[in-house]
Amino acid sequence: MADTPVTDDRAAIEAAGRGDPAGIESLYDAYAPLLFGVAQRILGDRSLAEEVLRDVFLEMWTKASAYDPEGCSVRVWLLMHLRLRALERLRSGKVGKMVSMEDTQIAYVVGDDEDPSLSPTREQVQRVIDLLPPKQRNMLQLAYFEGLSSEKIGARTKVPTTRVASEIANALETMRKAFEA
Amino acid sequence: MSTRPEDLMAGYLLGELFADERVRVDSIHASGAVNSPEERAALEAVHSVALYTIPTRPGPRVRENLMTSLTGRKRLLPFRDRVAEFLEVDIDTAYTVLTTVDHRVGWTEASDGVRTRTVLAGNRDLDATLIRAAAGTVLPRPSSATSAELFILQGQLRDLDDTIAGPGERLRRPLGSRYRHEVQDGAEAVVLVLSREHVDEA
Repeated sequence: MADTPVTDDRAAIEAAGRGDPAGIESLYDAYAPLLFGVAQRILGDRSLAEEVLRDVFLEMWTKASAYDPEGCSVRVWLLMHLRLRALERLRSGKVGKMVSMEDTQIAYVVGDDEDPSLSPTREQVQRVIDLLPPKQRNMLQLAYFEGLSSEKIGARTKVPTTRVASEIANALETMRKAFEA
Repeated sequence: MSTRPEDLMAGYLLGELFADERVRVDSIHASGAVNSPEERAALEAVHSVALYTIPTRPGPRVRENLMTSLTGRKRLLPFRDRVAEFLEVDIDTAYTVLTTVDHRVGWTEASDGVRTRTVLAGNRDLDATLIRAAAGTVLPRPSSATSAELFILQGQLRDLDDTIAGPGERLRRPLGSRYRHEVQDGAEAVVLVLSREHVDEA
């Protein structure tokens, strides 16, 4: 098995798919800060977030060979797994997290060790999300980071339950168009 | 009427999906495969929300523990849940099966570079066998009266049609099907094979 450093996502996931730990190591080095930041935001607990982070990379070790290079980016695939596992942990009832609306507001932050070639960039995403109508922005964050149902989001944001999904879909459409522009 | 990708992704975020949409999302989750560029763009938009956070470095021990888990004798243990499902056994039994891979004794030389070890037997007409096969070798074929299902734990196998399967993949080989599994260069293969006798059907 090769153990030379793997330098890009595609090569890293392919290496992991061949059973080369250097592939996972490379993905970890590239994405652990992002994934860990998300896990902490969802769980509000550093130690649980670290457990989830490790579990996700172990899961990647067993699934990497199934990755479709024509599909979504490796970053998104990792985030799908991370969010699912973190929300499962949150719903298991072992996390005593309380989140207020204020907690969902974040100032501009730019990671100092992130690849500037990532698209969209963190700065771009923050600018686009901040331009969304405040209720859409809150709904998006409550869904993404807390995994709330439309009923609960509707109650928190004082929007009819039946409108929550369409508001989120509209927010996503706005974001997609902004990133494509 | 087909679902707008953004509507599918809103349902995904809310965990509120119709059965066909659930199948779609499960498929993306399994392999990252998307149906269209629009679906990919909507999915990328969903997970761009992750960038609305502060990147944070986990403790150095997380990386150390992770890499320890991926090397040496523990390297196959991350597969234990899926092996338990594959063999239809509990997690402890799957753990035991996986830890026997590196045992020095209990193996039978099937051919040059290929060793087998029975891990579960006596369950009606079903047998589970571990195979360790060096790069360049060909996995032994069960008898013509046997169907088999393989779960690859390590290494890669090339089939007759040049498709390559790697760790975590399950390969179904029905009774009478044509196949030839050659171990790709790079790493020894470790494969779990579940074979079923079909005496009455042969």
